[in-house]
Amino acid sequence: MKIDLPIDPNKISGLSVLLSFPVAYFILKNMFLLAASVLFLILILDLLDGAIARGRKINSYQGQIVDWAADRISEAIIFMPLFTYYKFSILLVILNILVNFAVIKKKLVVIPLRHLLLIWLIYVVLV
Amino acid sequence: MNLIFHILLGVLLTMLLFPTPSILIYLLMIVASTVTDIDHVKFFKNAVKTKRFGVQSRSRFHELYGLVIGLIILFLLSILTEIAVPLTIAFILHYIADYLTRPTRPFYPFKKETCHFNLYPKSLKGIIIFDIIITGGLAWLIFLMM
Repeated sequence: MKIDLPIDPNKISGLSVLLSFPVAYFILKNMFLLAASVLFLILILDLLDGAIARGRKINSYQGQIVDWAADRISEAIIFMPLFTYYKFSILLVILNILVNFAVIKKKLVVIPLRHLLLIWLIYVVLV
Repeated sequence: MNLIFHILLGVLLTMLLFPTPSILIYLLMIVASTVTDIDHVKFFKNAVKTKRFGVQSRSRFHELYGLVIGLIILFLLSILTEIAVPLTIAFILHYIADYLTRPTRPFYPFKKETCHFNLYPKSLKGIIIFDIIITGGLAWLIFLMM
């Protein structure tokens, strides 16, 4: 997917990290519908930054590093309230960072923690 | 981010996470929130010369590598004591604050690429003003909560 918009893709990655704070807050306060909505927006932004970089032909390895870093930091923020209930969730965050260290080529396979959390949040809201 | 900001962040977190915190808890939270900055001591001389702590003054323990080690230690501690969880949050927030306000090398020493979220000014003057506003805002928030 390519989108040509005059926006800095790194700023979009930064915005997705900033939006992770409200998600953590909403989870902490049991406002799961709001948490799911903002988390969905974060995942859209996560798609958008790469698409804009490709559309503007400014995609680079450094941009990918920014994207990866934003994802790992966002996961750490979103999973912070869960540490209080399930200490083992720390291990998932650690595991994803370690996988990122191990990546040499450009393809990265990590556990989609935020996607799984979104599914769980939707399940909690619906049931 | 600057050291005062990290200390204030530790204080704010203590106020938010503990109903009646003791001085010892305040101290522990401030230590967890600032301990990462110890590696700056090694690069202090260079920072005075260049007038800033750039990415070069961040050791591997100031990047995700250090975060992983710290999280593993705090996870093991959390099995023994409940206070490890708030300490973990204070520890993580140091890294997050740095990533959002400074250029970093997140996957150093494995990858040396610098990461900018471009959410902050890049000139020295701009950084000083930005730091004063953010740190002052945090101090004001703590003052309002007292």
